[in-house]
Amino acid sequence: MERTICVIAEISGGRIPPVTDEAVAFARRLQTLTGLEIRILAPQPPGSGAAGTLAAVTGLPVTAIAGPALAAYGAEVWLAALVPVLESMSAAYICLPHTATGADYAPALAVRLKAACVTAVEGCRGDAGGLVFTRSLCKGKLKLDVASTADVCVLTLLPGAIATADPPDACKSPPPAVPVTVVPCDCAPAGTRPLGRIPAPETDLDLDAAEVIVAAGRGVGREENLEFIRRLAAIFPKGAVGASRLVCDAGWLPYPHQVGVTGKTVAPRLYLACGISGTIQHITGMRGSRCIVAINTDPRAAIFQVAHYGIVEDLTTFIPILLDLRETRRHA
Amino acid sequence: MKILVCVKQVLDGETPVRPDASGRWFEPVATPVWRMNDFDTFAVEEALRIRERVPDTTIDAISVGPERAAAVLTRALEMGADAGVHRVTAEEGRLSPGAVADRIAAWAGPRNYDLILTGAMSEDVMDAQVGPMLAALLGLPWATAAMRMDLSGRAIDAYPPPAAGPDASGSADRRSPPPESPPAACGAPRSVYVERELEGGVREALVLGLPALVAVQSGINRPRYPSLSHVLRARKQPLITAPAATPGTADGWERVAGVYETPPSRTGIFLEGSPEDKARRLLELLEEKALL
Repeated sequence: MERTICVIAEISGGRIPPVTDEAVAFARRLQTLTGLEIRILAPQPPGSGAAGTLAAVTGLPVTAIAGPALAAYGAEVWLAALVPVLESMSAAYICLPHTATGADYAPALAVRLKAACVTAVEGCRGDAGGLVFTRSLCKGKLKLDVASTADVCVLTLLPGAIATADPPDACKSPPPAVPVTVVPCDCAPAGTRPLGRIPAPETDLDLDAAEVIVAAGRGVGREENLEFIRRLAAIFPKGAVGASRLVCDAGWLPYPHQVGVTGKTVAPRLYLACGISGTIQHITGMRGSRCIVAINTDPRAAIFQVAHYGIVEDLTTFIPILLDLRETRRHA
Repeated sequence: MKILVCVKQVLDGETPVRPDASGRWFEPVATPVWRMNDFDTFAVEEALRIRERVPDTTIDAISVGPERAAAVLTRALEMGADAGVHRVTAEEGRLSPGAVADRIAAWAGPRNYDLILTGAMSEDVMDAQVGPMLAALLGLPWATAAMRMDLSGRAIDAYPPPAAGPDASGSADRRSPPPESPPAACGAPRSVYVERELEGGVREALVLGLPALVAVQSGINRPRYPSLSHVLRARKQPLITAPAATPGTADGWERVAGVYETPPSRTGIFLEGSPEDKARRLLELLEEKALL
């Protein structure tokens, strides 16, 4: 049977999030390199319109896997629903987003399918030995190129790393609609029960409204040093304090301050990264900022790869100098 | 109850790294500082907190790695784990997540752990694969990115099956978790309530029937520092060492084509001179851009 490239769509509240568009874009790149056909799989409750929307937007064949237990994500039912369909389609490459959902089931899917598994993929290329997938190592300081030696390869795609096509031109006619195939699924979970979602806590902090975000990383060293960050943020009319995951994990700042894949995605006019190493998870959450300034003692820190201006200094000595100079200039 | 905690030894994040001679993995540039993967310290702490509440709980810590990885098991003992299991691998270099999961599964399979804990991922490689792979190999239910876990004496079958509804997946409809009775009052734990962290601070609640595997997210607790009594005990207590057997089914399904320094994706400018020069230049830049 003809091998295929399968995209497992992530659907959120009946809508198609950008991470799914990115997975489709990545599949199209694989298609260019391999010539294989693309199939999109959409696990969903019966009667959902999400699969139809996907087919209309992409012009690709979509298979809705429809079952009552698929109304809410669960690793156990996802695997039960997906494995037989992926096998029947003779999937060679399986593409899905590296989200909290995708990362939860992809490695187990690989075990079930006896497949290779490459997670948090940022790109791919063809070389003499076949396809090579690129991801980050050591907080972005190094890159790793991996090839699959298995018959099947499961790939999770780092959100924000894969470029999607421009938004569809209004004058251009949409791609011809391909009918959606529906595969019923009556699987039910045995060892797990989903209990629903809990919304993020309400917060007064609005990082979206900030024009300038001064963000603290592990490099601040200790909680007291956050005072430097707060004082620096205060010199900007619409300044706010952001943080890396490690700073929130340490309890130095509450989680609403966190910028990155598991926190907020921000794009202020200025992002001032202080003592932030620049994991790909953090960079994904702030790379859209118009101007990025990084202060870090390690000139090899990955944050400098995305910074417009880099300052190799210890923030605890540099920020006071900066603030003093600012005062002097204001009164001059 | 019997708990297994999986821990990995990693290079301290401040240790500079470079591609190794083979160009297939990385090595420290300076004198390496090895320590326990941060994410795993949260898993060890979570196990210790369970033992404080559930009588007759034992905690085994396991690590797969070369000789040097023994130190991370000693650290787990110092934090309070009861035993350390070292599956010794031959040499440095990449060990695929599948191979690690395989070797832990070979140990855990016949030993009937009630709960297996892992960190969400390792700091250095960030594959986030071993947890779900191990669960799949052992046929256990699992949850990743756990920001809260509560054991319960209630069996999984006592929870109603999932209600059907169009696209309930997106509904953020719950504010508080269901009340869970403390396990001590209701006999042996039979299930675990878990809140998983999704994007943007949203959480997903679920219940897993035991035995189960939970990969904990960083920040779920505050890992403790070792107490003196545990440090003294750990110094004397031998580890259980077993050479990691021949590669299993999950080994060798990926081939490393290369490891290299990340090329700069944008030509940024490093400000030069004394700290005062850099501060002055930065203020000028911010004023030019009308940010100040």
